[in-house]
Amino acid sequence: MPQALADLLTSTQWLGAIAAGLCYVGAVLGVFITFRVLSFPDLTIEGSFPLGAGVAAIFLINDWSQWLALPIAFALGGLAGAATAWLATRLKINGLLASIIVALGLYSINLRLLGLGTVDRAPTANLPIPISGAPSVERAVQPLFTGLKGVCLAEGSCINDAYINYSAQALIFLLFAIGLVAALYWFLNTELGLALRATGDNEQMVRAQGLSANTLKMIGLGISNGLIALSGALIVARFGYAEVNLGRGLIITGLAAVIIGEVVISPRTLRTALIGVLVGSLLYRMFITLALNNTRSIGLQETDLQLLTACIVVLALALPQLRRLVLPRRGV
Amino acid sequence: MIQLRGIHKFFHRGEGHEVHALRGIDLDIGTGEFVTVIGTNGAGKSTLLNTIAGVYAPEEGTIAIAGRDVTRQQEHQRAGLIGRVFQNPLDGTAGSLTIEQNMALALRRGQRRGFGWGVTRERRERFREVLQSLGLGLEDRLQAPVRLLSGGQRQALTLLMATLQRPQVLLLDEHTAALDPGAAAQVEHLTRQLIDENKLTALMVTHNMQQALSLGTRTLMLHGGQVILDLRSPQRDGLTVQDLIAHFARTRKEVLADDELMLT
Ligand SMILES: Nc1ncnc2c1ncn2[C@@H]1O[C@H](COP(=O)(O)OP(=O)(O)O)[C@@H](O)[C@H]1O
Ligand SMILES: [Mg+2]
Repeated sequence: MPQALADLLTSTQWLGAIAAGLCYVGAVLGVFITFRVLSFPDLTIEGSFPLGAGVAAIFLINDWSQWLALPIAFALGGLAGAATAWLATRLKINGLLASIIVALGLYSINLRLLGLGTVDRAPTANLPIPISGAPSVERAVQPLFTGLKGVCLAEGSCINDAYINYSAQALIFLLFAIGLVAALYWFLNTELGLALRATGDNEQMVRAQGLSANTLKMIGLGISNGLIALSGALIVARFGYAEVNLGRGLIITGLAAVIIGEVVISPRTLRTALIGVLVGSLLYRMFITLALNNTRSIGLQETDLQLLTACIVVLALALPQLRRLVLPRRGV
Repeated sequence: MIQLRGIHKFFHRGEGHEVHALRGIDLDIGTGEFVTVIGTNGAGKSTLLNTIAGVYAPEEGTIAIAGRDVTRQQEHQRAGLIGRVFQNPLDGTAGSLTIEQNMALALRRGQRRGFGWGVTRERRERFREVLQSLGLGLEDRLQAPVRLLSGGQRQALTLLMATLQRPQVLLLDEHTAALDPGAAAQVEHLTRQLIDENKLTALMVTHNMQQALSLGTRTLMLHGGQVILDLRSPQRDGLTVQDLIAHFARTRKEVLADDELMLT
């Protein structure tokens, strides 16, 4: 690792940031689908993300198949998104409002899943920690993919147990992220996917081509929130931790990641736009990790994360504007 | 091909500002007829086309296309029968998608869309060939996003998309009105070519009376939501714009200001 990077964070910290960034790729893809593809500002994410986390937590607590948690999280998140679309298209409730309504309703459901407290992995593996307000959660949550704990990535890199676990996990998350991006690229190029992309552009045209714009929005929001919930489930795997407020402000951070990706990549095609999502998601997490680790020295603490996020988002949102001011105008 | 029986269409019904946009339209359009539709602003021309297309459901009356009663079908449900081009060149295509992606969407108009790849190599070849026959130079820009095209190119593409999968009925609503004269002439030429080649049944709204007479096989004049003139061969043959105005005046027993008809 280059010395400059190593000076900023330890390799474990870098790896942690990357792993987290990879986990969030699903959520950022979800935001990309609603905001960029469908042009439907959707705040369901505030509820669908912790929903996915709740599903994963329940599965882990009960020792049910960890892999089964993922498709179930996706399906339930998808239902939440479809519900928002249904309210917006069939009942003609304003889309933004519809998504807030669904997110609010999900809050109760998520409380049932997660309780009021924090479902946490015990600091030491076998010690269950008491969880306030969540009587059903008695056992410690083990992180997903613990079965890989013993796996060594390379000869000699098994010394640090935490590091090994991290890198194995990061690798799995990487495969996941790439898989999701590739799957979405494929889907958005199918006949159905093209119809979905057209819906964000021109509903009139979509109907004239014999497609129901309402149904397409339902599919689009469903896939978006399915990915978001999946991402929530992966976060539980990454941090071994879940709580009902995980989704708070996530729409903003997701949007920030999308914008960072756009600023860095300047995408002209779907392919580059999706790569931008991947890059943006990673960069955003690195910014956050960097900021947290280097501001502690000047008296900031982890609870200042939201303020920090808000600042980074303002910066990200202002970047296109700043870039226009700084860089000479490019030809189209 | 198209049968309208006693069509009434209201807007804001029961509210203070109720508009009775179509007042009992009875119309039979035969297979292969190319009907031009004229009339003053607010006559109900767009409403007529939109009602046929299913954008609006009529309060009274029935609509049949190709022998099928479509009165209760929604717009997207009957789109398989209908190709459309709108007045606004932006309305007919998806700007962020490429030319070939837009064409792929149009190729399956009215059919189920699945998980098959949208733009296959085979389709791309076909699109290229079709575009080549138009001579618009678009065949080399298959992968350009449609938003980069000019209004005329977009309208030509929309027209092509509307006929890519042969429609039972082609509905054109002042589709050259928003274009500059050169582009308008080109799109008009393309319209004639596509309708002739595919032997389409078409309804074309125009505010250009000269165009209404020179194109097509039949001309309808709408006024106040009613068909007040229905001209076919032989009465239509050799008719001039002046004749048309005189006809109109005689029928409605009122003289229209020339500018109201927006002569061009
Ligand atoms: N969507 C609508 N809502 C309310 N009124 C409408 C609507 N569309 C058309 N109208 C009214 O119906 C009448 C016919 O309009 P239209 O069919 O657009 O006329 P044109 O012959 O100029 O195309 C007009 O009085 C118009 O104001
Ligand atoms: Mg009109």
